[in-house]
Amino acid sequence: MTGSSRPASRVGRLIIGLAVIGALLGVFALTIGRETTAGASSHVGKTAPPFSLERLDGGRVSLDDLRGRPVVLNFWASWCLPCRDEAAMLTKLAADHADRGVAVIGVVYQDDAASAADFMRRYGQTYPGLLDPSGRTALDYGVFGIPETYFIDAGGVIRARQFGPLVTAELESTMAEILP
Amino acid sequence: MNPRAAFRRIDVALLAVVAVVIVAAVVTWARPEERTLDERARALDVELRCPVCQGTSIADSPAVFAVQMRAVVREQLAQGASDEEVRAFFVERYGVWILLTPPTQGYEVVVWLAPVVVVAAGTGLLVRRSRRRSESDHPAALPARLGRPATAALTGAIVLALGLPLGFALAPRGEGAQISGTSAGSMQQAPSIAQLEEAAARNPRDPVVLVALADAYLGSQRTVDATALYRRALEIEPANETAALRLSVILLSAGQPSEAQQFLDAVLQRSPDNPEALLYRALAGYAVGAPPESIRADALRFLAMAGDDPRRGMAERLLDLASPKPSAAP
Repeated sequence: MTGSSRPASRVGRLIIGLAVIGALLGVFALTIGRETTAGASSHVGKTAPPFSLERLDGGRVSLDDLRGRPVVLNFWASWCLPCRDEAAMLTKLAADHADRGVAVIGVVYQDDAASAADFMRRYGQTYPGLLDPSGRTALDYGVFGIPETYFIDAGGVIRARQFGPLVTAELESTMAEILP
Repeated sequence: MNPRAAFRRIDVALLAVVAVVIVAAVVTWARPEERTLDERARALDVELRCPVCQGTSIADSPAVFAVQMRAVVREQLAQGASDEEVRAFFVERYGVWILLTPPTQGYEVVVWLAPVVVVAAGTGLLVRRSRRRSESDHPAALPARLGRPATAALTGAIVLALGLPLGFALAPRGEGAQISGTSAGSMQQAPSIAQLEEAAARNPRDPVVLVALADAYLGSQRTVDATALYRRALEIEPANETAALRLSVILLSAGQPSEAQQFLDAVLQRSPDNPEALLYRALAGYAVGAPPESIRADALRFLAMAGDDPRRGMAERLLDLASPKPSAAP
């Protein structure tokens, strides 16, 4: 290498080095923040996992029995504070949409039957509460924490999923996605 | 011995060591069929994220849901699923997020490969540079030609080559060993209340522990026990907002709004913008027949801050009740 070409090649190397670092930073920026939690879209657009669970007040309910009806599936527990507000909200929703065949179903999450039954009485929850003692239904739906609600259309496809408490203002527009 | 030959022998010995370690690591990885079902289950538990805890594996979490997930892992393995099929089962339900170490794909491959490429390129440059320098001085043995920086880089590369496969091969097993004793047949309930009671017995003056136990009691409908503990937590730490708010809710639902009001006043004195305290004070105010303007003020401030809070309806109703009839309160 000649003395005159050395500075030029040094500058060239510097540029290449900076370009490599820049590219790596770019890749890092693209990668970071991408799907840090399972996306809200997971499950949406897919067939709702089947279940057949015992009702708190006796009998069983399976998703197959509800085929042909829009279903609002809510995971709740007596120890969940926002679930108290949701109980009233969903009871009203069930009554308001009864004529359109909507089935509102609650699945008890990590709770015992006695506390759940007491909760239903106390907060006037009239739609069915189903027991999921093994947690398998919650697992099949990929529940993160409660309250969590799935909106399933008459064809059994999940159209919307709400992480956390339901919001009154958004409920009707979400319902529109599953109503016939 | 001729120094050149001695260095060559060292090179050959180092290469042999590296080769042996790599082969050992590969062999360790590639014999899952020799592991028992419980060993495989424990290794998978360490890989799976607990969805209700975040940041910990289901192996490390005492949460009931984690226990249930561990049971599902064992159930799947017992039914003949491969490790990959078990991972796929959970990924289908939670996405790749459920894997604590997600598979590298897309851009991430570049991020993973970059350090290797940089080390290789750096070593190459150093080798080239020192070769150039030493060619004029001593056209001698390889390590001498490499010079000190290149030798250091080579040593680093060898350490990496030794350390990485060993680390990867050994790490998952060590962690997995912590959680033996959980099997599909014996589902354990997380001893939450018992555990918290034990913690409270050990730390009877720790308000955090007391509030956690009180919360657990409240969840099990043991309201009297919960109330006593919230009160004790507040005696120890009068500024404990969680205890004050929970106690207020209990008092409100027990028909003692004036006592609830006192706790809520105290909370709002310290945190004037606590939305929960504002809503509950409006509620307590309505129950005790407080002046409508104070109920309205609290409800309005709650509404201003509550965003999409599902309790907006409650605040709006209170606002409505306190608005038209100045003497509406019972």
